[in-house]
Amino acid sequence: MAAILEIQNLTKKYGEKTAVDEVCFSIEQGEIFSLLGPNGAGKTSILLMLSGVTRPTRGDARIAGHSVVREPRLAKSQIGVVPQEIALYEALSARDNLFFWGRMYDMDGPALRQRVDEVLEIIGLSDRAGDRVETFSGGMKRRVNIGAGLLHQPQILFMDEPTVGIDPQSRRNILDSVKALNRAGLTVLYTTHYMEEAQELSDRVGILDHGRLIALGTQAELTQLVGQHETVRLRLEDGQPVETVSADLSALPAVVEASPAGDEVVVMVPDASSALPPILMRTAALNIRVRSVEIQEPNLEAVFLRLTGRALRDEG
Amino acid sequence: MRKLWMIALKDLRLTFGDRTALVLMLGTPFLLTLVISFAFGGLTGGTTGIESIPVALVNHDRGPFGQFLVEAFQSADLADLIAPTLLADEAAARAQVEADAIAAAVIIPANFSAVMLPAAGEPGGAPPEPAAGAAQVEVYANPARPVGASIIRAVATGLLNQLNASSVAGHTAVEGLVIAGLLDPQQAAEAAPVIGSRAGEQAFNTRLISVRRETGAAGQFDPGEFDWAAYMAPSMAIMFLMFTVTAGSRTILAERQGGTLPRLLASPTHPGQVLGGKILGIFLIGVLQLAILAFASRVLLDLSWGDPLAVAALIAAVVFGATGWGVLLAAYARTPGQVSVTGSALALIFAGAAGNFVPRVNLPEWLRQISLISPNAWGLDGFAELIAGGRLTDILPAVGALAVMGVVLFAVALIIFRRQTA
Repeated sequence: MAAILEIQNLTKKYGEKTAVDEVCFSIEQGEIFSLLGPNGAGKTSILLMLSGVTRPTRGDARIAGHSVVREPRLAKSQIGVVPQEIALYEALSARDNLFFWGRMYDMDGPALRQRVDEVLEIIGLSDRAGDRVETFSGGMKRRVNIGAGLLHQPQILFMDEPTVGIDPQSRRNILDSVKALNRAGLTVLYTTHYMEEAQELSDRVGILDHGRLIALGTQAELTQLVGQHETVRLRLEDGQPVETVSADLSALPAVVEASPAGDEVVVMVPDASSALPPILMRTAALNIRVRSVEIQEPNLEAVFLRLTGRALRDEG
Repeated sequence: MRKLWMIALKDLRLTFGDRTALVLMLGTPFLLTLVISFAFGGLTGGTTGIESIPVALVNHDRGPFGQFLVEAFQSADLADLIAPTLLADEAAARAQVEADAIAAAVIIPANFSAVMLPAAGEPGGAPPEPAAGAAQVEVYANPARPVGASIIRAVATGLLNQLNASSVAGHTAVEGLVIAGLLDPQQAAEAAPVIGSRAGEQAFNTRLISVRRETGAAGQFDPGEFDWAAYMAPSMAIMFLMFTVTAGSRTILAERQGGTLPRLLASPTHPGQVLGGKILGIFLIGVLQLAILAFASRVLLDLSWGDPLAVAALIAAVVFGATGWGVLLAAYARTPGQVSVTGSALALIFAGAAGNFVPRVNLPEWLRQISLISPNAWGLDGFAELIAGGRLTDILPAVGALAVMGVVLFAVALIIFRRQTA
């Protein structure tokens, strides 16, 4: 398959701070590609450069063959953007918003009218098309927000954490919409810090940390980085010596590796069901109070933990 | 260019679809025009709002000076300011004040002329002396009408000062005649009342006794002739125009904060088109605001702002200059809140300094000069010229100054915007 997006050494610095550091990857046509990383990892900075809102400090990207640095207008016309916030005019109706954004993508006349009707159908808001966006629920606003990015039938859709701060039902609707759009042939670049979303949606995942792409591949390829090991997460009571416990548990024969992560001890084991009894017996012998125990099969969370020594969810 | 218009029309639609914005842009300046005009002069022009102050005159004096004072209060000079009623009963006059029926009662004592007139000299050459005692004209003021009462008191004081001057002149004349031996002291007793009376009469007839109302620069501004509504209609419109451009400029930062500006920049739309569209939107909103207010004051208040072509040119120029200030604020500020606060402060400072609340002729010269950095000052001068019958050629200097102001401010704002996005 042909690459619809190619990124080469993309770098963005804000003063002394490097937000994006020499990132390289490509996205094939028809893929859903997720950029997974904690807040502040550089996901939004990458999307801002790819959508021409900010200029890269170094490097370039080509969208459908057009450089975002040298041919920004042509590159922009190939992409649809769904920002993290509700980037709409709430005092206008859903239909008027779509008309406005369509015109910003050089659409007009009957073609625009027809496309607005199609998009309203896609986002399931044909019956509320004339209502002001400010009267919509959060989920409905999100759908219009997505619709505004689809009007000009882009080659690739950039979605920047579109499920942040919404209820589970709306989140489910959005994830289903992304899959439906992809089935219809749309390539999607999706950023998230929710491991579950990346796992559910993505053909391939790029893991970002501190502006650097630290891993890239299919989920199977990435989970192989942590082997076939399962992860046991022991959350300790406040004030317990997490590092001491980690060091102690590492010495157990059933344990491959144990490391501290906040108030947790993350223990990699070949088989959680057989490893758990000796682990708990040992903590009891050490007089350590365990608040909760969680067992995870190999997943992207474990990959991130393995690569960074930190949990995705704990990053801010 | 098409996208630029689309962005501007979108802002126009958002603004005119917002009831709160409409109240601020149109309702408030129109109401303020009405209120201030009623407070200071009504709506038909040529009045001050302090006309026909009801006052009762009680003259206990049988001599000429009491009569002069009454006639002075009843003179044509004061006819549009004071509505005097002559009463014989002092108690009735005081009762009217107590009942808030009149602003004040002027009570002339019985010995008023006797005190004012030169008394007869003593036989043997002693010059005549004024009558013993003092004659106090009382102004019994209504505390519920402080302005009206103050004016009556001021008028009475002015009249009395001039009568005193006549009295002193009378004394001096009689004294001089006696000393020169031209008048026998016995004759002086008969002549003194006649001379004093003539002096008082002369003072009155030669308009020595008159009240001259002045506010600020003498000869330039007469509130009696000043048409407050005609001044306030464009004045309030310009003041609230500054609030409108502030609100418009605020949307530049609000769009950045709300995510629509990055979304616009992510579309195949040049940043210059986006900024140009926003500026054009602010300009169009301002022009419509002033045009609607001019039209409304024409239809509802029968006020003409002057030659329509010249008014249109001046509106465009004032809005252009004001938009320049608004865009500069947007470039300088970091948040929408900063634009609102700074813009509102600037609007009020410009209004106070340029004369949006009081006629510009009342302002000190230095303030009038400084205020020329504001669109308010040029706009007020221009509209005053047009309301007075001026033509387009008369306001070209104001139009030119406003155009230069706008261009300079836009240039500075653009430099700041570019530095921010570099």
